[in-house]
Amino acid sequence: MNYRSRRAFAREAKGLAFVLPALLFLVVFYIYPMCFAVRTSFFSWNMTSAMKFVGLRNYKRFFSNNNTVSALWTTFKYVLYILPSSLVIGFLLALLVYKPGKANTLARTLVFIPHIASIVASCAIWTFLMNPQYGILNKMLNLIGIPSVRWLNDVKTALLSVSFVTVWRQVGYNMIIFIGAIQNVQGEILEAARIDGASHFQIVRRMIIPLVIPTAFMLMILNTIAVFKMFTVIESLTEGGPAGSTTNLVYLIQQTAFNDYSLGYAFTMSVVLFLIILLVNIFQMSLEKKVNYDA
Amino acid sequence: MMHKGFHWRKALHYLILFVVCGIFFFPFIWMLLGSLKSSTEVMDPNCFFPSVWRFSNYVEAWNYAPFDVFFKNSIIQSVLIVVFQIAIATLAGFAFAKLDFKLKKPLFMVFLATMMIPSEATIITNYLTITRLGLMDTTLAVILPSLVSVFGIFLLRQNFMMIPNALLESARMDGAGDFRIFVSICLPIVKSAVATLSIIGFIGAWNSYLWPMIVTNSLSMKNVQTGMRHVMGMDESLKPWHLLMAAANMLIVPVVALFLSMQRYYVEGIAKVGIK
Repeated sequence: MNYRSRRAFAREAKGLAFVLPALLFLVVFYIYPMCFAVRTSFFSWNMTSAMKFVGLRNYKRFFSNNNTVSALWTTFKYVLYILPSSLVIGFLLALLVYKPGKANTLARTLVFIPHIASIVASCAIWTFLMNPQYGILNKMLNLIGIPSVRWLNDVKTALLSVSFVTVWRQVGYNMIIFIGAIQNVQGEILEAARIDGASHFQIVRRMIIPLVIPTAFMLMILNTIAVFKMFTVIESLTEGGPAGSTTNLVYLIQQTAFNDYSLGYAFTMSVVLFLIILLVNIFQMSLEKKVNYDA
Repeated sequence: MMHKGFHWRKALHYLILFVVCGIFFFPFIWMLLGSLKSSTEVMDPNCFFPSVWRFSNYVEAWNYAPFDVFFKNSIIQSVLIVVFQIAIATLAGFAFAKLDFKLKKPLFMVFLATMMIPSEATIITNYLTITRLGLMDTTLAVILPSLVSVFGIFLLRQNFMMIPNALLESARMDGAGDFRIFVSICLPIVKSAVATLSIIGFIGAWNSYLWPMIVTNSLSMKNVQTGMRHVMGMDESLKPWHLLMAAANMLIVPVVALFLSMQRYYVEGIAKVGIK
């Protein structure tokens, strides 16, 4: 008996030893910080002052303050602008290049490269392209008779411009995932359909689209979360401006914590961000089974 | 007749490919051209090709800011992050796939749950932790929160699970311990997953910006991303765009080259996330 339990103990210890390094880092840099953020969101604190319990005051302030409400709204607007276009374009490109072949493979690589290229460097290029005076984009617009646009410097266009650059970075990723899904469908089924005289359009509508729906759904979730967490593109292109029109929640968290030093309040925003992303995750988990069975 | 129609379709396909690639890749082409122009040519949108191809712009850009320091920091940070991510993820992935212990399931659930915590929501606390440890403005500060990749743990676990148990049993009969089995039998089998994690981890670390920005402030600690951001803000009034484009190119090319050489592993990795 004793021998048995000692062996069980040794097995337990061995398992834990293998997992321990990972667990240690997750606790220190993910789990503890999240708990600390939730707790501190109920306090008023600016680093130099002592923490003071204020209950829900930070949350009330969050939902009554113009800056935070507009940042929250902007966060959702980014999803609205980026999600549909990056999914649809990604899918169309996947249809275009999913078949093997040198030209298709090259095209896949070229479209994917924006996704891995340094964001800061890419945004430097886009700042240059979108420059109102000497940018090539305005030059092109002028050539087809459209007057110059102030892209990143205009409250009306800045959010769209930032979204546009993000779509450019994201489409290649969606395309690659869609290609994987189409290639899973492909093969004999498609061949059979083709022999039966189905047109290309019919194949896409009747076979490919229904079978890639689970993938599209998963991409929708992944993209939504990625857009909620956007920071570098905004920081590099507009620094949240003009007039705060491109400031999302993550950008505001960073500003509130490291420029204004109101940590309690910044923690409140972090918790709201966490809850929004949690909701998306729960939504995914609750629908995942259903979608998989339907497919 | 049939044959001719087939060719038309192919030509149309190539034409669309060409236009699409042209649109997506145009920013890089414009960057490349701009990086070889003179400081006046680069400001003139009517000038497409440089009159003289100034490769010396790259030397000038390299000296415009301490890019040698930025690159050194980026390489050190990214390599350290990848090495630790692999070590930690292979250990944990192996335990979750092949070892049997009571806390395995609950711990696995905890790991799954942490995937839902956005790192953007933890930066303030992590900043306080780093300050308290006296690590501000050090390499350690930049790398610490990235040393464990939960994605990597799941990837490795999946791969370890595919190893038949019979193989491990026979090694155990020969008297090999779990660590021996892990190192000399299992690790070599999951080589390609390790390659996948290293390329994805490296590119992620190389391109990360928010956290390095927060925990470093001296010029000598900046990496290529925060350094480039610093360079972008240097001459507010009249930016030397030809040098900035050269610098952008220097940042992009190494990662793209690395990606191209390990493209298969990278795509395998993101497809795993996708198809599950």
